[in-house]
Amino acid sequence: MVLSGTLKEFILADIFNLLTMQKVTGRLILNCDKREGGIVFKDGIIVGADCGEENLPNKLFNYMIDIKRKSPDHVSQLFDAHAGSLNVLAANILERNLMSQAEMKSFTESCVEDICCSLLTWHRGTYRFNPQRGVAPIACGFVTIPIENIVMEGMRRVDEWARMQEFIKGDMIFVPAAKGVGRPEEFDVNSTPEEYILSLLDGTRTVENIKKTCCICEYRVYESLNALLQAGRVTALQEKYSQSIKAALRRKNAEDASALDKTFVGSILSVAAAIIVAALFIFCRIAVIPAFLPPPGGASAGITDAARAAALLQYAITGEKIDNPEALKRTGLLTEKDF
Amino acid sequence: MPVTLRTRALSCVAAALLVMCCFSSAVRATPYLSAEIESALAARSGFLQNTGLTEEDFISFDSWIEANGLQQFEGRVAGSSGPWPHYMRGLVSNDGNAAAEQYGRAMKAAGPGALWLLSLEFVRYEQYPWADAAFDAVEKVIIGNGGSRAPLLSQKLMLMGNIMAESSPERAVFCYKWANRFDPNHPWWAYKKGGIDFPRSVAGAAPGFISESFNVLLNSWRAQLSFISAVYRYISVTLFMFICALFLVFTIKYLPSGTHHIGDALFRRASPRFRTASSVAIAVSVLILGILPGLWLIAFLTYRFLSPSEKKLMLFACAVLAVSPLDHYAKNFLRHNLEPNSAAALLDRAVNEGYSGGLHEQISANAAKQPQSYANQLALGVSLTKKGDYTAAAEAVDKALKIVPNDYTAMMYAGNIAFLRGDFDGMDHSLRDLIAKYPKCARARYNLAQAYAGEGRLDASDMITDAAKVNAALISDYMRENEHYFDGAPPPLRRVMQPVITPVYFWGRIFPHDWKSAFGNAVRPLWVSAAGALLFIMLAVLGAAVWGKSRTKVRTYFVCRICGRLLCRKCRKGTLCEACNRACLATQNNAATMYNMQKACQDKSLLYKNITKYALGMAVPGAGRLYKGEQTTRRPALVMLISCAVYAAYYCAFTFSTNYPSVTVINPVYFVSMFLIYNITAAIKQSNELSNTLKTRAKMATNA
Repeated sequence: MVLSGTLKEFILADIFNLLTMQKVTGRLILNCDKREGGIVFKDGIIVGADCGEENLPNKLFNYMIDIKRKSPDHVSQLFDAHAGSLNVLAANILERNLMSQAEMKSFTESCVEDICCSLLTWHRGTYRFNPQRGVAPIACGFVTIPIENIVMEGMRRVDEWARMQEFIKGDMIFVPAAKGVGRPEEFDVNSTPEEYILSLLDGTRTVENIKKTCCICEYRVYESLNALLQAGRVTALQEKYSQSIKAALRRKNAEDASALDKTFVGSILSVAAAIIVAALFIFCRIAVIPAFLPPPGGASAGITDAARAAALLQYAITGEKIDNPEALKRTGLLTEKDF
Repeated sequence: MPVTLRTRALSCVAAALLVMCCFSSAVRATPYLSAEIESALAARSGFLQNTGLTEEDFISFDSWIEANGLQQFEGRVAGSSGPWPHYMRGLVSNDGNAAAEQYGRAMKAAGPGALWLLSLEFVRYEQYPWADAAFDAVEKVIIGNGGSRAPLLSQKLMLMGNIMAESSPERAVFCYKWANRFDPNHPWWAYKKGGIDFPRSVAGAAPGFISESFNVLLNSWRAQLSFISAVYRYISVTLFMFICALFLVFTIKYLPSGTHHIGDALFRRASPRFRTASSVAIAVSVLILGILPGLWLIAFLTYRFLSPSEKKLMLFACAVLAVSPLDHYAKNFLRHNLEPNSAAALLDRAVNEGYSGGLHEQISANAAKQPQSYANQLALGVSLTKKGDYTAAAEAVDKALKIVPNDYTAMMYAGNIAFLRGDFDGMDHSLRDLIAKYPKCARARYNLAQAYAGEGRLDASDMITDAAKVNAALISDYMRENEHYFDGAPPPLRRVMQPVITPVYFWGRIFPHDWKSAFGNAVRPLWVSAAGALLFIMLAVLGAAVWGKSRTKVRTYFVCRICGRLLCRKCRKGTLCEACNRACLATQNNAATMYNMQKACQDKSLLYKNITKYALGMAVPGAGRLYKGEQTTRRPALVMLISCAVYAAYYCAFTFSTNYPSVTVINPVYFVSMFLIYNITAAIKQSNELSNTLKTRAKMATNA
């Protein structure tokens, strides 16, 4: 089945309906500006979704670290080993008892739902359906969401999203209102995501940063922050701080962009400068410093004590008169140490 | 064997090893009697020329006689005079009595130089009784001239013994015995004698050699001074190496951080790696100008990055560097008195050797150059006395006494000169004063007894008894020698005892008195040596002016949280260095990949650090632990100091120099293998640790 077009012509909900009716299997790819998202269908049912860094492997990894408190060493080995096959990864997680099946199902369904709902807010861009025989590597195998649920929830969130974005921006920094808020031992991310988000607020992380590093999706982050804000449990940092952070980020980006061009010439120049300095020092050592130093004391030109004794003895017992110290060395009477 | 005894024995042997390594520079072959020997060699050569013989014919005279016959020889030597015709006749004579008669005539006709040559010939032909007699005659000449030793003859005998040791051990032992007689101030005769039947002789010879070494050390100021010089040199080399090792560790560990601001200022656009390398290269190239300025600069650049315990070590190193310019003067000060033309050496030669023209010229030149040096004046007095110019000698000794009024040797010589001039009252006056000041001086009492005997006083024998009560061995030996060599009628110089330059006298009188001339001989001006310290002070002032104004509490320098590279607020805004930041960008927001990348960077950085640590640990045991940054630096520093002491031993062994013929002394390079065990053990240990680290990494990689 060939299906492609722009979201101006068809809204996403209509495309979902079409795919469900056809009971197709494959991946619906969405593009908007530079962003790319994807929804995985199996027999017309949604079984997976991803949108940039919001994807199941990332969220599962962060879940393992943040919620399950697993060692990054241990978990990263597992994720690395099964990169590219999501179903095997999920099966391995269950096999190793890192998560229960129910936990896995609820977490992955929640994530996929959030991602799909976020994609429903896209009103422009293109879509293209990519039919596939099997979707096991890109679906975890625990998600089955009928599109009706997604469309209903998505419509609700569109309004909510616009309202929340009025007072929660991606570059804002929130801090807990009360001091000494400790991190609870356990979270139920699905039921109380606010507690989880509250534990991540340390006064340095922007909303965007939290979104990237936490185990829940963008909408839920905003929703949780909104709830916390409404409850007066968090407060936003002043505008001037946010501005300075923005300025720093801009500078950083500009520097990063120009650094690569400049470093090559700069590196060559630095090596040349080091060589010139070393050469200058060598010149000073050879030509300048000796002029200020007193002349070295001349080595005693006379024959050494041992050489005198050896020469006289040689003459006395062999009749051979040797004045040259080198020749005396050959007789075995002296060695290099005697000179 | 009880542990204490074993420890004592080991320490004794270790001390003896150290002591004997120093002796070779202590003993010098002064040219005393070399002129006489050279003229005797020339006379022998003239005789051979006159008789139509060559030196080869003379050396292998038996073969020549077999080839040419006795008659031709007689025909050639007829009418020749001197010792050599008699000696050669004795050599070819088959009749023992006739040979003895000829040898006797030869010895009577020989001067000191010819006597020496004759004695060597007797040794060559294994005529030991005649060799003994000839050496005796040479010794008689020496002591008759007021001398007591002839180091040149001793060294020649050591060399001759060394040549003969393999072919004829008996002749070698004979040579070593006489080498000791001609110069007792060295232990090498015992070493070479013990080496003849090596290794079977070790057990028997080693204790003798060790005790001989200690005896020499106790009785010779030269040996003591050489020992102190060698110990000072060893300690200074050890300290210098320790400082260098310390700076090596701090340079590797902190210089990239220390030169960070140079890179920021000069090479802002270069990549971090090149920026660091170029800045470090510039800082290190200061070492080309001189080690001291280079070390001061490194100290300045790295000091602010050191931990508190490392700072203590650096302060110690800086203190040593600050005083290091004085090392040149200290060495000069210690070595000065061992130089052949120093006042102490010339006085020692004047007292212990007979008169020689060359020595007298040197002493006169020194006395004219430094008339206020009492040692020079005294040496001049002694030399003039042995020359026979008593009036001038008395004037020189008076001058010495004016400079140092109560000097023992000068007072003794004043008395001796008075005796030689026949002024018994003057002698009596001088020696009585001397005895009043030094009541335990047996020599003065003996000499006073000679004055009494000269005056015909009856209490002369009582005075000799008094002298014998103070030092019986000295008096009896002296009288026995006089009886043996001179049949109780010694020459004038031998009638009175000569003073000796004892270690106590040297350290108490000559050494402290001569310090000005020791410093005066320093070649390098102080400012040249102190240039490094001046550079450091300038930089410190400059640094204080620049950094002292900064009131900010913000930490200017920090490290990349992945690889540990130093960063500063100027060059990076985040907490990652540029390289790690770029690598992070490449992960495309995959959390697992990002983590793995960070882990790989950290592992790589750790591996480099570990390899550097083990390499340092292999090169200088202890340095690796200091580099790693242990909580306390005391133990690693101590291990490093021990390692540097070992390296200093290598250095001293390989740069070993000698005034004595090197074939007859112990070469310290032989002991290097003992110290190599230390380095080999350290290398094995470090290699083991490195292989364990690599194995662990490999295991982790396999598991992943």
